[in-house]
Amino acid sequence: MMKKLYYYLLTVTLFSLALNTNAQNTYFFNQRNLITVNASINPRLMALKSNKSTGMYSQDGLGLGTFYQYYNDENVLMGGHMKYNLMLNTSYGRIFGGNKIFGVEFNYQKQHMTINESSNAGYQDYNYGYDQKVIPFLVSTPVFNIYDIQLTYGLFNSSYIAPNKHIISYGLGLRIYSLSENENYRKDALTPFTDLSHYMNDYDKSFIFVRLSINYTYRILITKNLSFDLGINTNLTLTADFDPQEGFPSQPGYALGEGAAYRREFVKSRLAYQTFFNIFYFRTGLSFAI
Amino acid sequence: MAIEHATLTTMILKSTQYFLFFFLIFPLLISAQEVDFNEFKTTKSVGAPPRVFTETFQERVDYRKGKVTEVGDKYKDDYVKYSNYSLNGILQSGYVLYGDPMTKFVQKVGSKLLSKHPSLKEELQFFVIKNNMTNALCTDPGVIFITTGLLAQIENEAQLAYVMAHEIVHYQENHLQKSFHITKESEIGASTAYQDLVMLSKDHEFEADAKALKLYHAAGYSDKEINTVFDVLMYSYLTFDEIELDSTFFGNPETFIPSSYFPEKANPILAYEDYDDTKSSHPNIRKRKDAIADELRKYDNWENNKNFIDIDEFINIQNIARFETVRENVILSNYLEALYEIYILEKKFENNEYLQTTKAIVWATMNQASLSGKKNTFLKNAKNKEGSISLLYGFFKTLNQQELSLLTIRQVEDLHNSFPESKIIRELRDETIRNLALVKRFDIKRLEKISYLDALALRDNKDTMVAEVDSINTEGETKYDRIRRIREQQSSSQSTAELIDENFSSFLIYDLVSNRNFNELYEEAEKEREKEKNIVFEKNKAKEEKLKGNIILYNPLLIAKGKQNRFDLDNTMKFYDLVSLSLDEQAPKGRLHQKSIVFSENFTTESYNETSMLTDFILQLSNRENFKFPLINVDEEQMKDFIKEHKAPYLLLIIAQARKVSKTKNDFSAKIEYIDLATGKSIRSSHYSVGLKVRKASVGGLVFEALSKI
Repeated sequence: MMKKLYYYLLTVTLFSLALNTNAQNTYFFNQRNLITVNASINPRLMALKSNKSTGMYSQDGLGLGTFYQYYNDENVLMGGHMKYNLMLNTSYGRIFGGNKIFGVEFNYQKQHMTINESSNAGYQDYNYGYDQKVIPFLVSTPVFNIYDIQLTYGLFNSSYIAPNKHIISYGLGLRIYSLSENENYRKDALTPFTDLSHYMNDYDKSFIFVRLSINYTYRILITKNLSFDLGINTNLTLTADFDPQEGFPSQPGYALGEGAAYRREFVKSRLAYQTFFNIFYFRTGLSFAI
Repeated sequence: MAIEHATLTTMILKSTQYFLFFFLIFPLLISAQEVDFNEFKTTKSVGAPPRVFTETFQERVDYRKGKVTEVGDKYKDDYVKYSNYSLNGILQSGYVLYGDPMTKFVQKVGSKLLSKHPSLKEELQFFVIKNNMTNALCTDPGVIFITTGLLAQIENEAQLAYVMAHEIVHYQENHLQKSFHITKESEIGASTAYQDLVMLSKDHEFEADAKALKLYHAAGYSDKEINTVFDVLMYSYLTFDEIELDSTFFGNPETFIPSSYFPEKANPILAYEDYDDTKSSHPNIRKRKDAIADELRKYDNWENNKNFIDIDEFINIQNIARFETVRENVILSNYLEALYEIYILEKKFENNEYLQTTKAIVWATMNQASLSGKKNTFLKNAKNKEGSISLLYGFFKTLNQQELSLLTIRQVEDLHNSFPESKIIRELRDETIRNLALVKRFDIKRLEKISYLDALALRDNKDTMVAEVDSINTEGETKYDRIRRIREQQSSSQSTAELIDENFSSFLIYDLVSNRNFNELYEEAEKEREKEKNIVFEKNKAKEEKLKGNIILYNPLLIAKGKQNRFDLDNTMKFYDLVSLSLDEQAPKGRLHQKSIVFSENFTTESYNETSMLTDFILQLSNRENFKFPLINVDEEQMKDFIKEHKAPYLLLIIAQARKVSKTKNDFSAKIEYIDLATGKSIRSSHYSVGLKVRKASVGGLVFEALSKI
């Protein structure tokens, strides 16, 4: 993993040096501080398989996203299909050396965890003969709050006075997944998890990943201080190893009873897996330079 | 003219008050117009500004719109706007003169030509413009310009009258409008240069030649001058006169210049009447002469007048124009042209202080250019020079750096001796001596103490030479006195240089070699040079520091271009408006002064003349090749007064261009430069570039950038 990181950093450094020529020493209206508030949207790119058919070869091609299940206020099991992530970003950057920016960025996102890509792998409730109701398992899918904290280093297009239209920036920081505790988690319709430690091992302990991102932003000036931003982010999380085939909750062989419904290794592996499919974000928002 | 006289007489008769006024004040006014060529200063505009300067752009456009007849409705707006914008460009240069003797003269000739066309006389305005091209220019709003170059070349009033009649016909026949209509279809506004905008067809030129005769004939000028006018045009690439070059060029008869340094003979004058004119705006001279010969036969009873106005007045304005030509050649770094023209004028104006000072400036500047390693830039096109001036080109090509430096000192020293009172010449002399320290591989010990001619005489009469041996009193002798004494002994006892042409330069400043002041200046400069060598790196602190003192903003040059790099007038106008607006918002109160006529509400003759001086200053800066040295300004004295008046100001230059690169991409870039008016050195320059179109933020940012560190 350190080796991987080393290559990433080397690429970033070389790329920055290559761009950093002909820098100007002055700033547009002497604006040296850049505050941005953005929203990013990201299609969940995990392929979905059929959850209707039980046939062996007819599971493919349903679309992209994440199936999840939850209990509503009447404690009825509901299903959902999450196609997009929404992320809120705020950042502060200080411009220096003509066209460089150094800053810190905070992101927030809330999402369901992807457990599996089709219901087939889960529990199946057969209504012998004609009606098949497919329910993978009865346990609620965990909901996570995701916090990113990262340091950013960016470069403005050097032929223009900064801050200007084009920024390429790199971020390195932490992505923290923390279980949202205010949900109606249930083992089944009749059994709520009164103690969340039965739901997930060490439920109050965050899952922490290293996050590397490369972003491009196009700024459209509205007034001399305010800009409308459009951008693309790539979130390259350095993942843990994962094995998606093991540890489904409530499966045969899975530790039940006194054990937690979700094992920590399983959750970590699923979070890593889904992040791998959530690389590209489209970002839009406002930035204020002063 | 006749009308004016009549009114004056009646006025005088009407009231004794007027009578007194004219007899007391009028002589004063007349003498004020007399130019003292000894203290010649570049021509300035005088009196109340004419209409064309004070009208706003919009007023002029609105007025002209009603008058345009030959351009279709679709393009009328464009035509009026573009043609007036081009006119603005000419007016803003500061080179257009009014109220001065030359313009007055031209206006008199105009009145004479138009005496039977009162309405036309009302519409047309004539001005002289300082420019060395031999040209006249008619612009759409009826403003006709005559260049000082033309005035310097023509021989009499009649020739001027014919050229002016030609331009009047262009206006009368709406040639500009007609040709605009033709070019319109293919492209519009690709360029703002007047020449491109009003590329008249050759038919229009023939028509103007022919119809000009009517005005010219009616005014009573002689038909014999017409062919000469075409000769004037044909030979206009030469200087305003052609005389032989002889030894008097170098002034001092003791100055020996080997003839082997000159080309054997001057290049012949080759001007050719029947040249290929396919790419020229005007037909060739042969065709024009042939065409006009036919036209001339249509008129009879020609009168034989070359001049209606007093001949002295013509000679006076011709001299002014020629002095202006010299001056402009200095500004444009055409050193040899300037020297040759001074040489011509010297014959008429002996010991003229202005000419001699200018000569000193030319030599000093030329020498500095050579020391900067840029000699070839002012000698370029030497092969194409024709007539006597080609000898000068050949001569200077042969001179090496050391020879030119020593010859310069010789020249400036001679001028200093002729005008010991002149401060400028004295400063130039000291400067050229200091510059000697910059000559590569130069050894001051090799300079000879006697002139080349004396050395020759000595060699020939070696036997008769008597060595001078005196008892020497060494008491109270300083180090330098001693060195000098030893050197004197050396040079009188032994010959260090062989008497061959290549060594002529060692003998050039024989009288200065033992001059104390000369040696001190040289040694001081040597020391300075040594010091400079030791400075390895010095950070330019001026870039970070704030500028103190006043700022003079010279007319910013702003151009907006649209698709395919075409000039976009509307955006350019918006550009100027926004700059004006941002300056109002951001400029520090009382420190920023605008010397420009773009913001024409406050137009005054005084500030217009200042703009003109600053334009010359900037032109000199951009044309010179000797960046290492402080600028030697042709308007040194006026500039000093100006600096004093504005409390040591800096000149701020802004040049900006906005361009539409593609549908989504805009580019707005500018260069901002602060210049020290006293030395011509750039104090700070910055580059401003944003990917925006012309709007408040982009223009405001530019102004902010320009004013952020003052």
